[in-house]
Amino acid sequence: INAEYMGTIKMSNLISHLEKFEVNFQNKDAPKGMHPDIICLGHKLRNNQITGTNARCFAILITLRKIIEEYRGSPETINKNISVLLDEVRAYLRTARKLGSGVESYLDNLKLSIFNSNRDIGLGLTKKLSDDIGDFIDQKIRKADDLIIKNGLELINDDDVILTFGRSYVVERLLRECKKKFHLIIVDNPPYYEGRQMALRLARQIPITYTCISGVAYFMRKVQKVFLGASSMLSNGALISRVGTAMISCIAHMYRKPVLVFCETYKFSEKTQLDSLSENELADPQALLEPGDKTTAINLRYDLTPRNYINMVITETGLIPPTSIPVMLRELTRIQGTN
Amino acid sequence: MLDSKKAYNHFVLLVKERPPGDFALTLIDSLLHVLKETQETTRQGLLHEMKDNTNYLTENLINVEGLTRKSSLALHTLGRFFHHYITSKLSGLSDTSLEVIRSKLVARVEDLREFVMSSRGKVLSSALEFIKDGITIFVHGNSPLVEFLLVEAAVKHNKKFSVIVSEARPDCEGYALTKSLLAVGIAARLVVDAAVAYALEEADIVLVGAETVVETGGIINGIGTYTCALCAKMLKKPFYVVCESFKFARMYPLTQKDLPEIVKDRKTLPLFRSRETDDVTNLPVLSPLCDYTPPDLVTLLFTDMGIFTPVSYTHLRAHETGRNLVCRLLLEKKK
Repeated sequence: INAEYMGTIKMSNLISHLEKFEVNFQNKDAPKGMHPDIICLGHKLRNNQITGTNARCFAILITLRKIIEEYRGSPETINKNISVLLDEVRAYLRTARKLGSGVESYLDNLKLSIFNSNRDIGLGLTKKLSDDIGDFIDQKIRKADDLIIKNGLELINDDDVILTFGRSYVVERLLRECKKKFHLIIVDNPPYYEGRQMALRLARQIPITYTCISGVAYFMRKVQKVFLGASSMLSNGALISRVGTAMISCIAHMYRKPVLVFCETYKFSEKTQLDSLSENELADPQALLEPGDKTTAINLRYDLTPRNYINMVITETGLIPPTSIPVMLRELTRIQGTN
Repeated sequence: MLDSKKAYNHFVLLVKERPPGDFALTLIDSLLHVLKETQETTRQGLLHEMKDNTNYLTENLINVEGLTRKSSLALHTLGRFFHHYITSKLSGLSDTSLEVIRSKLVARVEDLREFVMSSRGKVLSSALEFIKDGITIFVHGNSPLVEFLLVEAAVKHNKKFSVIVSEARPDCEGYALTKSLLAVGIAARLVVDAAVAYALEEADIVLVGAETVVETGGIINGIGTYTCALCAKMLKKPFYVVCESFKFARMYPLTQKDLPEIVKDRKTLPLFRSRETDDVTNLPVLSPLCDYTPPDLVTLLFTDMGIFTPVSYTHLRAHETGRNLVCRLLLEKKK
């Protein structure tokens, strides 16, 4: 037994509890009767054609809404049928890619509302669900982003140097809509180099410095603020975001630079997690390697930034410290309960 | 004819009559005075008058003789709190007669006054068990609440402890505190600001007041507090903050630059107190009045509503009613 072999075993133990990346998804048959839009969506999610939590949530919900509207079954058993349809779609999409906690909890709520619906609602159920999904997209994504940007614009001052990591939809929009004069440092990360997209889109109006993570410690001294996006935020105030975010926050904390997270409230989760590995998503290890390379590669999608590295969370309900997330969740469930 | 200066004029009067330091009650009394003497006949008119008076008063606090610019920050917060309190109480009253409304409102404000008056005693009971016999306490500056706490602990509760007081330049508030502590028999010693780190070696705990507690659980207090907090953290000494709950403000500073304008720059006040003053008056200076101490440097907050870590403080704020931004717990009528 040589050192390399031992290394491989140790590495596998670290991530053996995580769902392996299924290489042969392309060749699998989709379940019989699955709507083609869903199959198409599954492949897009799989191939990273749709990336970013907001984009994926939006795509999933829009497609779901379409197939609910296109339901042509019997009105008598519609409640049961739609419920079963939802389950099948979710199960299939999950084999393509994990949906994300915000979407999952919304779909749970949707299922609950089907269960609580009147037995005689008939085809009215499709309208009810379609409206519900439409409201969610409108309130929790579109309008939420507008409010977040409104809050965020006040946090940018002239002559600021702002650092951002990867590509967050709401951060990109915020920076684009800001009319002040500032300098942007975009930090990027292999294998997907999402920061390049952000740089391309903003380069026309904002002076940009583009670097990879290895260069962050050098630039951090000159930075005034760090802007980050979120995949989700947990009840212990921790941030789940693109792998590499934790390092950026750690360095920012060391240099005492404020770290600001821009996150819609639908991304708040009741889960708690202490480290990056106990729950994560594995992507295609081949993306990290040259073709033909037989090294064991681990391609993690997310990592966890602990609460004390985050200074402020900007949501559509205002600016809150990360410790207020469970409180916010309670308030939101309470408000939802009274509606 | 709406007189927005009524509260302000009354405030100036009361400040002259009363002993210095207790401005919170004076503020409430001035606004209560306006409420009692109101000639308004409609709800809206009443609310409008109170709002105008509160705004004028809080905006012109810096012009009041005898009031430091720092205290005006805490009073500003109290003014806004008062306004929200009145608005929410008024909307909860369904009576039609304005007389009845007015008298009920006066009763509610008097509840608030009683709450503010009793907050000192409550802070004391929170903090008392942390003042143990034989410890050395390091105090920065002169917070009236800290003074009250130490004097009561020594006199009424017979605690035996010693205190090291920092000068707190440029106002040198430390002198007054040292004198009042010595007057009641507490072993107090004065030390220059530059010796904070040196003196902390001997200290067991650090105790400071606060002008404002901000959203993060951090505090805004007289300049030098941040320095003490940083030293305390490095030397592993607990850093305790005492403050009343009406000082919790809806502010969210991230850095020292984000402090409110009123305390960022002393402007024309004299900066240095020494025999060499003549030589320095023409030099360019950086002269902040207060600094911001982030929550990771604060160990515990002693308030009239209990003891909080800077983290759990945000859970307290979360009990705020929808738009009114006033702590629900504070609004409950005290039994």
